[in-house]
Amino acid sequence: MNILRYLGRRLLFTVFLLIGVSLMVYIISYMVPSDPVVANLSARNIDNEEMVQAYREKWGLDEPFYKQYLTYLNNLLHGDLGTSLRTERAVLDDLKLYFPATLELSIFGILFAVVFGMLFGVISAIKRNKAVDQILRGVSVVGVSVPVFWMALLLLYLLYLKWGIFPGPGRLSAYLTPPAHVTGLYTVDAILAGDWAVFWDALQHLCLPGICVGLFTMGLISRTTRSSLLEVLSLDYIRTARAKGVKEKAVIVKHALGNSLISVLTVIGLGFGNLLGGMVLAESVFGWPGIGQYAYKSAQNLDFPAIVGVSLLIALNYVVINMVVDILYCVLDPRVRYR
Amino acid sequence: MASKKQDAGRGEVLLQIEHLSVAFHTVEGVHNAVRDVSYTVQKGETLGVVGESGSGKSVTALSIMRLVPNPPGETTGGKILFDSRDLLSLPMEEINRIRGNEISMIFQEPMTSLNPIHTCGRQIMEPLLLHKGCGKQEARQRALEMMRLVGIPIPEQRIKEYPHQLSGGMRQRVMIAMALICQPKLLIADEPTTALDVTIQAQILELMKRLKRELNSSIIMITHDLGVIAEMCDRVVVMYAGQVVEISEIDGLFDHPYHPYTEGLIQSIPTIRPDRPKLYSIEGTVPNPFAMPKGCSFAPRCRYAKDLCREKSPALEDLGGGRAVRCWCWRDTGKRSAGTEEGGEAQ
Repeated sequence: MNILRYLGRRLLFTVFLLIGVSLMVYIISYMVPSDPVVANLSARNIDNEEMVQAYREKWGLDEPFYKQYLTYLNNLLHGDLGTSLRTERAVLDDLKLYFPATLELSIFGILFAVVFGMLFGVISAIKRNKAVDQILRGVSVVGVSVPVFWMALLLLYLLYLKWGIFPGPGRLSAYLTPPAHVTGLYTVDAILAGDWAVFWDALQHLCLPGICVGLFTMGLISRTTRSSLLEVLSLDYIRTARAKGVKEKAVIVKHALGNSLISVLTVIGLGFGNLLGGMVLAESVFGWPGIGQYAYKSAQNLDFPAIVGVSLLIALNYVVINMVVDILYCVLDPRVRYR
Repeated sequence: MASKKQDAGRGEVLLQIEHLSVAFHTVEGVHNAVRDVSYTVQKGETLGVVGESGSGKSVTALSIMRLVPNPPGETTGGKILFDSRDLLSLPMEEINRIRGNEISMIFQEPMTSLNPIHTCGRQIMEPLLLHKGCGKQEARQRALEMMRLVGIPIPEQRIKEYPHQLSGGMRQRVMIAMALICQPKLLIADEPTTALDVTIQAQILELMKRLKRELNSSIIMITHDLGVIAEMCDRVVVMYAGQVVEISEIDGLFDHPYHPYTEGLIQSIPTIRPDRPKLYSIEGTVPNPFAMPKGCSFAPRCRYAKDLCREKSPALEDLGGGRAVRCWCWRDTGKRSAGTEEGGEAQ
């Protein structure tokens, strides 16, 4: 019951947090010394006084700041994020269109990061200071430090262009039709539609960008797992487990790993949040129609409603992820109790 | 070598440590934590191992369990015979079958020695599931019995609880239940009461005495507290700077300590006798492990030390009757202890 009350309070807090975020972003975008009219009207139309006035009135750009914000807030509370100046569609619809692509890529990326990061971390810890450890630590450092755009180009060049192991940019091969929109995640929608050809193709398309965006987090997870596991393995209760006759593998899997996961979980949560925030570079190189590209183009066009919408979504992502991480702490560690 | 089986006449030898040496390789150099240690444990006896921190008593015990971390630790010589098998040369699978099953260990810190994310029940049941091939239900039943036996109230409730929900004394009871659940032949208790309150200490010692009678295990009781030794043990091994310096039956030890270090230990037991107002302490400190003195390790702190002591290290001399001492001048100490309580003639 405690946890439910705790979550209720967290949700209430989230509402205020989102209002705060919207205000911040609103203020920042208002203070940018630039005019959305210039950004959105063509050079010829800018000279046309009437056109400019009409545009200003249409988007309420003449209103004082607080009025603009309050109108926005009111609409927001009614589930209306406004209309994008650039796409002229409801921002909410735009987000629904672009976010699933990012979500799918992020999930793939974080899965890749968690599986390989933890695997490498555990092997590194067991084989501490041996050659395998040095190599895996090298891989982690590369993952953490190599720029995404460079890695993206390298992966595309080698694995797609040169060796043809994986398909190229995009979410799906051109000859296939996307599955009927349910969740917006092509792999999930394809399973729901029972279309295995599309599922397989979508999954293959996820591989290169997924590895590319997951590498950074994989490096972090691997390093954290290694150090955390080594720390746990030196503790008294591990000696107790060994003294009971528990085999070394079981000592690591049953006694040490669960305890070391607690700190790894934090890194996983943060990593997933970062991915969901959009990966402008990776999305650009892989032609991935995600939230990163949308945010980038909105910013270029000073599309305020879209910018605020994306910011709110990213803030919401972090709140949800933090909440899930908190619940998982509770599951992993019986000493953690929320009041 | 001292304390061979016949000496004490108590019966069969269960564990025999022969010339054990353990070294730790550190940045500062090689630390010989255990130097040529030999002692035996007989079936059904409680053997006390006493000495201050760094005397090698815990490392010896960890060697029996093959729990000395390697690296940096390394067994550089000797044998540990348990039921005529040399524990130091057995393969790990064999050792894992012995650990927790035939030999169990209780550690000093009940607060940190239990896994915080497993329930007490799971931890108590684990040795049974590992060694006795029990089903979950049977293991649970036997865990509940064991918890009752070690005096944990409402075991049906406690079995589901996590270590952080228990007090220090309760946790040590859980440790004891876990160590004894497979009815091991030998229980090694490494300072089992040091981290506990005095009242709880007495309860735990009482519990261990009772369980030893009921389960008929042998116990190695490692401690720096001679009070615990007097309370629990049949025989005593005194260790100093990685060596055995004296082995004795419990009675002889307190009445007539032969080694000056043992004598000092006994004299430094606090008393409330009015004629001994000041707490006695052995002067000086344990020698630096990286710069051991040339002769007897205790010579720099010994009030009876002669030139010979500073030149040549004495061997452990078997005095018969289960007694052995590593000292050039044990006759002096013995005479003095038997005679007057306060030494005055030395140095």
